[in-house]
Formats: sequence, C-alpha cells, structure tokens
Amino acid sequence: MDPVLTARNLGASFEGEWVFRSWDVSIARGERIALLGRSGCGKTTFLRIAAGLAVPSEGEIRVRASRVGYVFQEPRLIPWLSVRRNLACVSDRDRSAILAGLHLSDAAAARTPDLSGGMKQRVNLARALLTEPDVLLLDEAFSSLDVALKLRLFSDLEGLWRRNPFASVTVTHDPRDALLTSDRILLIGGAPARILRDIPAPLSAERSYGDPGVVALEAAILRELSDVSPARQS
Amino acid sequence: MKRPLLGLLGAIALWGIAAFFVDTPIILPGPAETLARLAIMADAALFSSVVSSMGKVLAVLCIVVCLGVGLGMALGLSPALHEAFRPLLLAAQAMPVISWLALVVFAFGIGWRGPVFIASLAFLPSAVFTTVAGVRHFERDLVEMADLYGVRGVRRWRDLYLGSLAPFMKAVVDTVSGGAWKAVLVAEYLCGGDGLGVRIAWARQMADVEGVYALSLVAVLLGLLGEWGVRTAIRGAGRRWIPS
Repeated sequence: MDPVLTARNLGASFEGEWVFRSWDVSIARGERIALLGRSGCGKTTFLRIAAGLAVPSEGEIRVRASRVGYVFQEPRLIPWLSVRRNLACVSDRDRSAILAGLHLSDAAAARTPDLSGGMKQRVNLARALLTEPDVLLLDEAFSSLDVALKLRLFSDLEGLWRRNPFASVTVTHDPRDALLTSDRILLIGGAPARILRDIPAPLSAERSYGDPGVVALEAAILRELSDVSPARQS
Repeated sequence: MKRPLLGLLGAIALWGIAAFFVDTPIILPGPAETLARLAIMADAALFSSVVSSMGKVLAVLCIVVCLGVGLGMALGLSPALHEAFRPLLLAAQAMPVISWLALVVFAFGIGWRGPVFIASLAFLPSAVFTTVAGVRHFERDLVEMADLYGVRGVRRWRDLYLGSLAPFMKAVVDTVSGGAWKAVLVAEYLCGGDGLGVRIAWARQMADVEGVYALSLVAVLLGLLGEWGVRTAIRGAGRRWIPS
C-alpha cells in the first residue's frame, strides 16, 4: 500500500543548530505511529513540517493526503465562537456525529472560554476529525489531561479510527500514551535528535493501562529512554 | 443611566449655587433663567438645528468607522503602507481644528460639509491607529489554525478577523461617539450653515448669554443621551464577538 507520508533524510535547524537530522519516516494509510522522545527533540517541528506549517532545513517530505487534521497542543479555539461554530468554521460537514462521538452534544452551543480544559481539547480533536482527515497529527494532545479523561479520549479516538481508519502521528513524551494510541513507536533521542528505534506495538485493540503487554513494552521503552543521551531542550 | 443623571443634577445644583454667588446674569445666568430662555427658544427651528447637528454626528461616525477601520486594516496588514501613511496620519492628528478652517471654508464654503470634514479628520487618525493595533493583535496561533484548515475568504473575515477586531472597533465607536458631538458643534460654530453650534454662535453674537447657556444645556443633554445610545447599541452588537 502507498505510504500516506514519507520523509527522507529530513532535518530541521534553529538559529544555526540542528534540532534533528536524518529522519526517514514512512507511514501507511490507516497506520498509527507515535513519536516518543524528550522535550525539544523536534517532534513538534516534524508535525509542523508534515502539516505544511514549517519547512525542513534539509531532506524532503511527501504527504499524499487530501486532508490533514491537526490536534494542537493548546486547543486554538476561536474564543468568541460557540463550539458548533468553531467546527463550522473549518468544515461544512454534519457535526452531530462527531459531537456525539466525543460527548460534546450538550456543549455545542457553549462558548469555548466557558469549557473545561478537557472539553476544549475534545473540541480541538473534533475539529480535526470533522475534516475526515487522511492523516491526523496529534501534538501532545493528551499531556494536560487527567488520566480518566485521557483514557476516555483514547477510547473515543479508537472508536472513530475503527469507523474510518486514518493514519495518525501522535507526538508524546509519555510511553504509555504512545502505546495506547499507536501501532508503532519511533523512539527519538540524541543531539541532534535522530530516530533511534522503530518499535512495533502489536497490542490488542482493547489495550488498556493494566494490559500486561502494555506494561512489558512500557518497561522496555523506559529502559531504552534512560540509555538515550538528553536531547537539546527547546 | 442613573449615575450620569445624578451627576447632571448635581452639576445643575452646583451651577445654581455658583450663579447665586456670582450674581451677574450677563456672566453666569442661573438654571432657572436659562430654562426659561430655553422654553422661549424651543420651537421648530431649534428642533431642525438639533436634527441637523445629529445628522452630521451620524455622518462623522459612519465616515470614521468605515474609513478608519478599512484604512486601519490595510495599514495593519501592510507594513509598507503603514510606513507611508503614518507621518500623514500623525500630522493630521496633531493639527488643531482651527488650522483646517481656512482650507475648509475655501473648499466647501459655509455649510454641512465643513463640520463633517473637520470632525471626521479629528477622529480618523486615532481610529486608524486603533484598528492597526487590532490587526497586529490577531492571534498568530488562530491564523495558523485557519491556514491549516483552509479557512479563507468571507468565513475567515467573519469568524476570525472581525471577532479579533471587535474590541478595537468598539473602542473606535466609543471614542467617536463620545467626542464627535462636541467636535461637530465646534466646527458648526466656526463654519456651519445650520445646527446647534451655529445657533450658539448667533446667540453669542447677540450677547444672548442666557441663550448660549440654554443651547449649551441642550447640547450637553443630547451629547450624554447620544453617547449612552451608541454604547448600548454596540454593547448588544459586540456581545456576539467580544468574549466575556
């Protein structure tokens, strides 16, 4: 199957210093990967390049997708618009299924400053999914959420992916988040940051925090992370 | 509305006390004499003058908001245009009203256009600069989000830019509604053909001190009422965009 995203020898520098170099990444349609590494190793920069919001300093990237959804780390909702109009702003598609799927139907008329952090993040996710993306980019989308809400969102995301299998790239520094959202984990480290390991995560669809497979893989990943030299902090 | 009314009543009371102590009606007539003079002056001609002045204020408000916001958006989005127009706007802002008088009288003669021109120029630079500040206040994160999702054209302006500009446009309307009435009356006084300012000029020429005070009282009351009306209207309209 044609990859939906291909990066070859990709690199990005900031103020003359390399943040990351020599990244070769290929993502198949419907495949879910996670970029796991310390803060400042270029994970978000990679997502921004993939979304066309930044240009690489070297190498090339090809995204064969007509629609790219981006779940920003901070929700970036328009504060003077309601939830419904925030979604309508980016797409004319019917919003009711997405709103229901993410348990936002009751908040559709609310203005976004009145929402809790978790609800804002769900609207952020709903906005990205409403465009029916071929590729969904998630930038630390779950890092500020409490565990219960995070698990609920993982479950919602899994359900939506089953209905419409989109490729996704989840950026995180939490191995457990990576394991619960992805089928493959790219371990990032070093300075400039490189892809150190490509770890398959062939876990069951109903993976959860207590799953022995998740715990074992998490322990292995943590061991690998502790061996990695710290990346440059951004 | 209660507080301004109380303030007005307090000012009238102070005025009465001051007039009592000055005791020279040619300098400071009391409220009672002034109201009596106003009762005599209150006729269709006065009503027509008030309507004429209010029409000019409305014209100034429209010109300043449309031109100021339009020009401000253009200047805010284009640094080159901003650099080119900034000195001109600063000069216009610093120019005293009286300096425009000769130009206006030669260009427009005595009539409604001079006061509208002068009052508009008095507020246009600040409206432009306020809007420029608003455009520069556009949140880059939201603009980037709109770029990513391909939000363009009318939708981008309506949902993103107008909402972002709303507090600044409100500030422009607030400023103009507060000052345009006074500016129009002064300009009418200097070069108007009709209006409350012209009536005040006539009363002054006739040494009708009570008439000057009576007309000034009308001007103050209408100024307060107009400002309150505009604020109420924009508060309702602004609620759509301005986050609480």
